[in-house]
Amino acid sequence: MDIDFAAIEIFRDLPADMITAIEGFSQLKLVPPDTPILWAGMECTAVYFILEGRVDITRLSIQGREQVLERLGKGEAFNLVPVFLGKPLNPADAKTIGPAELLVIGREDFLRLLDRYPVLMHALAAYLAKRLLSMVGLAERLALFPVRQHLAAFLINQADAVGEDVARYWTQEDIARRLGTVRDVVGRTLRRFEQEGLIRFQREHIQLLDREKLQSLADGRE
Amino acid sequence: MADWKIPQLNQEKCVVCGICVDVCPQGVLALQAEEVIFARPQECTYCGTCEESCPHGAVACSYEIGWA
Ligand code: SF4
Ligand code: SF4
Repeated sequence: MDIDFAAIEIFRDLPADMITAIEGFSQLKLVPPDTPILWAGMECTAVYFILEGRVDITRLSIQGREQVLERLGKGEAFNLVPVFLGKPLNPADAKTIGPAELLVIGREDFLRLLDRYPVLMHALAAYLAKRLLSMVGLAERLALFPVRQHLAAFLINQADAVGEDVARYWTQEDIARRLGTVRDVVGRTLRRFEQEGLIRFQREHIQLLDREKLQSLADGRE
Repeated sequence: MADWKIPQLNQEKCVVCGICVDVCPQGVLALQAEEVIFARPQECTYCGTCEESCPHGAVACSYEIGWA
């Protein structure tokens, strides 16, 4: 088996003898495109590392829409968290986007490796901390989602109505009242739109730059 | 002021704390007697910092929304 362990973030800096030990517990798995690997709620039996390809981690929303929580690529790992839970269940669905090459280690074997090598435990903790940070960012975006959607729709309506009989100038307070939120949230969301290249502030003008993206936000497609 | 827009200041909400005067990067605002004034309106870049910093919602920038 010729596995490129250096390609995987958690294993990258581990000494050679440790890699040999890990290799002994590893299995290679080639997965075709668009193929489910894990289902939420099923028992967690293994952890996965991506050697090649991309994997979407998804959940079904209450409305039955598939929500992509994370899109992972080469070097990333998934299904790590349930390994440590008393009742280990997969927290989310996982499926390949293109063809993927995965390295799979059984849950019990992985726990044994962690017991044996504190350095591996540290590398894992650092990796999980990084992923947690990116999840916090996602949670913030989701919390703001209704505002993003309504604000995008509002901006498009206003811009399309220029010249018609509409209020010409809007303060952030006015917009907040219209959307049923508070000024701070409108201000923050507008700044975020600006960072994302959707709008531009030009003195007293808010210029909309990306109709397609704004429209898909307004339609709830993002 | 016709073609040089500056933020609107609501004197009724303003408690003259001076925060906006301190934060304005252009030194546009000033405290005078018992009120805040736009001492150098022509320097205002309409950056919105005063609005963001005012704890009493006494300053507001207004915007026209259009396609670029
Ligand atoms: S920060 Fe607000 S309340 Fe304080 S002086 Fe400026 S406008 Fe008035
Ligand atoms: S908008 Fe910016 S430049 Fe103008 S007064 Fe406020 S802080 Fe100063």
